[in-house]
Amino acid sequence: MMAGMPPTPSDQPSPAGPAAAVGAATGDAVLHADGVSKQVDGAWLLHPTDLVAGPGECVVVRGPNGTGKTTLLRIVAGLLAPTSGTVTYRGRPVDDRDPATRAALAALVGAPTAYRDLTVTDHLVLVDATWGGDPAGCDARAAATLESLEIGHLATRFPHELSSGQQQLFHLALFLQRPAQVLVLDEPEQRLDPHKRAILTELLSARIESGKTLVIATHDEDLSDALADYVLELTAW
Amino acid sequence: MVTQQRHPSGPLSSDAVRLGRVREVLARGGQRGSWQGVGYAVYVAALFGLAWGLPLAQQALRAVDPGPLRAAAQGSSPVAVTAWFAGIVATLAALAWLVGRVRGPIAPDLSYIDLVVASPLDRLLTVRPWWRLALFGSVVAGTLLGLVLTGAMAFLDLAGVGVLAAGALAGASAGVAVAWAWLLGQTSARGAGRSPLAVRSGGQPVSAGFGAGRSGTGGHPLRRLTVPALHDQAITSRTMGGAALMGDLRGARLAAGGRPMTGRALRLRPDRAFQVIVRRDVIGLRRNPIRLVTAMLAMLLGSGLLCLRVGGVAAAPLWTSLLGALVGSAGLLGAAEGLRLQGDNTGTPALLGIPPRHEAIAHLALPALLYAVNVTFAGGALALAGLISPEALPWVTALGGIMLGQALIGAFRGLAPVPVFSPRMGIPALIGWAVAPGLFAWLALLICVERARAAVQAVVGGAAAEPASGAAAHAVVSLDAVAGALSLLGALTVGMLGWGFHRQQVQTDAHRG
Repeated sequence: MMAGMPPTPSDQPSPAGPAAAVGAATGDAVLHADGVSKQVDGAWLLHPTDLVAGPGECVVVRGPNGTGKTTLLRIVAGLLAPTSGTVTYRGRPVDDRDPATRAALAALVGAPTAYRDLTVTDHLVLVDATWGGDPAGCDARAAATLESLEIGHLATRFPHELSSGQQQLFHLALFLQRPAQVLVLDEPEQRLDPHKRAILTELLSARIESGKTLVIATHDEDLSDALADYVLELTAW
Repeated sequence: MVTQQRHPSGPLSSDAVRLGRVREVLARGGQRGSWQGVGYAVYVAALFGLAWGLPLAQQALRAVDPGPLRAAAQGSSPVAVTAWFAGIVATLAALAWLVGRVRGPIAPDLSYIDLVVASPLDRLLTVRPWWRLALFGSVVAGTLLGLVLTGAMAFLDLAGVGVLAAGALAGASAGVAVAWAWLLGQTSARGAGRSPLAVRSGGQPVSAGFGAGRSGTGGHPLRRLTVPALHDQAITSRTMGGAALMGDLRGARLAAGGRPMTGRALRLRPDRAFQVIVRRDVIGLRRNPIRLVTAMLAMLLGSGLLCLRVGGVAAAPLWTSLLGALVGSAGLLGAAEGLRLQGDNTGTPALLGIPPRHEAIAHLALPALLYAVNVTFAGGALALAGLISPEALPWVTALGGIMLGQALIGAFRGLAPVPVFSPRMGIPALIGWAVAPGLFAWLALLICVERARAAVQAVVGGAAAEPASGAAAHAVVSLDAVAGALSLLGALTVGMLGWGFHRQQVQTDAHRG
């Protein structure tokens, strides 16, 4: 199912009501974004948009640069307050200040937190431990995450010693290490070679099959075709 | 219009001649400084020292009680004075060495580094002007400082006029030592001496036999400087300068902060959420041994001075609390790196399964523990030596609460507010904004130290010389003094911590827009 938004001049009042809707049948849905928009000093960063997704479903957000993909993802993840509309997860408003939101939603929107005095594997242990992972199996889980992305050889590197593509894989490893029911990713394929993109596709497919909800913005058509149950196409205004 | 001219020096005969021609070209741009400019700077510094430095030094000496100082100055042996001087110079040199690792005295423009320093010219010649300027500036600053301090002593009759010559000589010597330590810090910075070859602007190493040998690792330290290291420091110093001007203390700190390269064999062991954050901070400090050692030494020295002021058997001068509060706080802030890293990362999606407030509290645990350990060691040693009353230890330990509040506020400062940059406010407002929390914490510490001192004196003094008839009255006085000091200390500690947690909440929520 695809939905586009009608073209209107930027910095003008947006038409009332939702301009785009995509997602699962309402009865199955756990994640609802109803008419969310973002306006800053009169400029529209995101026009009113609807998004609905259920467990085991993936919504791919696509569109040219500057159409509001990242803004939408930040709103969906509870990182940014919308100017209008609401986002709920299982009926509860999404807000990253709420521990319930943080427990349910994981977001990779921009570079995540990294400590420059910890190695790659230390980061994974830290993330795992703070989410209540069993200390006995923590090292093994960290190693497994690194191996799943084929970056086990980077375990003792510091973040500043990684190349651009390795940094992206490290960020993905951090993101995948923590438990979550909803995964929100902004262009996770960036700076990855084709082989690593294929690995990423497999990992995210496995998460969807295990019942997780995925909301992802991407310019990669292969990734989109492989994962998307629904596509939300944002268009330029 | 450009006209071709014959150069008076004729054909190129040496690197010095070639460099001279380069400088001529650069001077046409009107961007290079001159010794006249340096002379003017010295003139202004001398005037400033005379108009402000001398009166301030006199006031400072008066504040620290000239009596004991006069006795010490007149009664000390030359060996003791020399030892004190050597200790101060060694401390300053160590600090200069540390600064040099981030920003050394050789700091040309990026274009000069890429186009001139990277050329086959002898590196000693290409960077020497900056070294001469730094050396000269350091010697002048040291001499002026020596003259100001000894001049103030002469004005207060603490010493004869002849001490001025000794002060100037000692200051100049200290200036030389500090300048060399600064340069050696730069040459020992990461990557500074890695490549034995000079590197051309295009990144190609210079061929052996032309300039390469003279830019190798041997000989003068200036020849050990590499283009990448100079490049890194130039970028770092410009980033720091820009960030400081913008009131972006986080940006300035990140630019100045070193990146750990050691201790990668250490492993973060899994544990429960709170404990693993503390373990994270421990491992972070172990991977930065210079930070760990300097923080511990500062806390040891600072807490020792505070113990002397609060519970000294002989009355310690006021400067012990002034310096002790400053150094002790600096040490604790140095040990709170994990907290600052959390502050640096606010606004990014949550990765850790622990609420930000709890994470901040966990990051406070290690600096609090290290401070308490240092108070125990420093205060315990002084108490065993009979220099202080053991009653001072709990008070000095409790002062750590204010320092922890300061660490919280510092970690979550964020950017300077926009009104600070209005034309009517100017640079003083920016400086005021930057130093306000530290200044407030320092004043709070000083006030608490004096009240704690009064409380300790009331308790200890009464217990030592209390006639039986006055026991009840003295107990009331002691109780009042202790209760008053405790109330003030508690209120200021709660205030500082509350301010810090408020800043943490504001910063955590700021990105929601």
